[in-house]
Amino acid sequence: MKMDLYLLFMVLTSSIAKNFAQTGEDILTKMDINRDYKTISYVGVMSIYVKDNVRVKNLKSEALNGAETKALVEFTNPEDEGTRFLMLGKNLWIYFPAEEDVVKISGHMLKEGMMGSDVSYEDALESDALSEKYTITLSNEEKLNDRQCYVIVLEAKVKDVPYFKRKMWVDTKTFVALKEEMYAKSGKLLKVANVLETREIGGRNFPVKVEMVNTLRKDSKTVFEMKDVVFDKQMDEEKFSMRYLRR
Amino acid sequence: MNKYLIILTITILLSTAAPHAGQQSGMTFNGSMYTDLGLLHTVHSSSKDEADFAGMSLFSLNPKNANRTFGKVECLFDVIVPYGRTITRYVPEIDDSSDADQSLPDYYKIFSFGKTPVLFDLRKLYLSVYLPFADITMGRQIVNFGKGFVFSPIDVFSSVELYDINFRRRGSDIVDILVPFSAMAGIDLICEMPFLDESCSVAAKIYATLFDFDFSAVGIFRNNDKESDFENETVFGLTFKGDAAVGIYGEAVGHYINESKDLSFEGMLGADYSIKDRWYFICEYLYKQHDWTQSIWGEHNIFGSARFRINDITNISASIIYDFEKESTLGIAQFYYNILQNVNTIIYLQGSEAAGGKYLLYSARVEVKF
Repeated sequence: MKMDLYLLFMVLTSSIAKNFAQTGEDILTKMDINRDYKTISYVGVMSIYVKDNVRVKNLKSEALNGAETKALVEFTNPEDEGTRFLMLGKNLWIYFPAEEDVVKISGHMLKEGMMGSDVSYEDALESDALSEKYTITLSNEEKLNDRQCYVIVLEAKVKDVPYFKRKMWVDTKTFVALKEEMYAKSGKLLKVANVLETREIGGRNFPVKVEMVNTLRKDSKTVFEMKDVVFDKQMDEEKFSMRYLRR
Repeated sequence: MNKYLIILTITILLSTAAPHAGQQSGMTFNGSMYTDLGLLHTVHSSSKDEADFAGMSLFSLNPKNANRTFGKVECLFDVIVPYGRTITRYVPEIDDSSDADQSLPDYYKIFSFGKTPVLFDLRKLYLSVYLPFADITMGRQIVNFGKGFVFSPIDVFSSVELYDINFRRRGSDIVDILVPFSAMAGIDLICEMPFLDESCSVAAKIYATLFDFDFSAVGIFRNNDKESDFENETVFGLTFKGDAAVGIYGEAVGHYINESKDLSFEGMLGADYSIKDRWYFICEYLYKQHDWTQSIWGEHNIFGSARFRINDITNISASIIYDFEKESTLGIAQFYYNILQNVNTIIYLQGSEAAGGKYLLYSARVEVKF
């Protein structure tokens, strides 16, 4: 009897969850729960593949989710040692330690690959409020790597977006986007992001290894891996300042 | 120079001592090494051209303390071994010929192998103390007041080394006090050392980010000594950088000679742009109203740079600086290949044409970073 009740509960809750997640907006809301944190810190490894060559860049990152996103990234590999990025809302600065120089990265330069990778500065700067910028529709459900996924399509409703159209494969159980395709207005596929590994950290399903392929670049891809991920750690807000950038 | 070596030694000894449990401590050491091998082709209009071996090896080390919660000690020095004709660029007294570059700063000669000197160049050595209300930095450091990549009339403390293919900047011996107002605004106060020296200059920069543009206002009092060709002057200026279809930046600088009460203007306007994450362009224009300002440039000057990224490890680039008044040109074309992790090869052609002569340097560099 106890088992029957348990099964009934499971069936009901899964059917409620499934009925609830009927629209694209609902799916996006559930996805946001995984990303609902006040702070995040991690050590990152960015592996840039060019044909058979691989170049590894190490970094450490801290970010604060508030009224505006604040993030500080510092590269620690010998070639880029001490190079820092400061993101305050829509503003981005790079600090080059050798020349003690702080350079603001402006509009069109944001489309460049970050430190030579396939991830643009614009990708890194993007806030999570996709529903404000895109019209979201649930296309269908399909299997991706043996995992059942909702396929949602996002189409831009404002001009100020890096990609006109995006297609996401969202795991029906964990609500993690396992794959994303990013398109230009012409319909040309620009980038493909594949989640290679997710991990449960602090009660959240979080992608910790992502592969980004820029289709405009030949024989090139970037694999980004996050290690030692810690959520909601107490952070000194002063760190996210021009003053700290020069330290 | 000996006092710097003593300070450096003490700093390294102190910083490597007393590690704290569970906390990153001690010093971190990063650096690079490269060797340039090339051929210097000197063009003579009245006689036969000359071709000479030219090159150099450079070892650069950058130690700094790992835990920078309360302060920072940083040093950056180069050990340079010039070969062939490059020796005359670094040690002009060896060669009294007219093409020996007298404008280069002094380097400390450690010792010589015959005619080949081994030189020491202290580029940075400073101590920073982080107080709750201000960051105080004392010692040799690079001060970037301006926004220009090559032309920056407001950058009177750290000039660009034009003959360095990476356009590195030289440091100054100063005390810098940075007082923040907010995350994106503050004031930077600078005083040259030694304070009581006749040529001591002082400066203040107020900076802020408004409407997604970086702005700053700068005031500098340059107290030149009696032996200097220049009189005391007050320099004041405005800088900005932001986005308007292309990335734009600029500097407007006024020079006021205190004795003669003459006022002159320098202005720089720059733009950068990228196309399809492959082409990157930078161009700058510098206007200088009078000869007596302490910059080396003529009335109208331009700088242009283009880079084409073949892939993430290979690119080609070219840049040119042209002074319309002196009709002088400095250009560099480079092929860059990241052959292995932290190992780069650069094949470059550097050319210069000015009243003093014309030369072409064909060179290859292998560089390792660690």
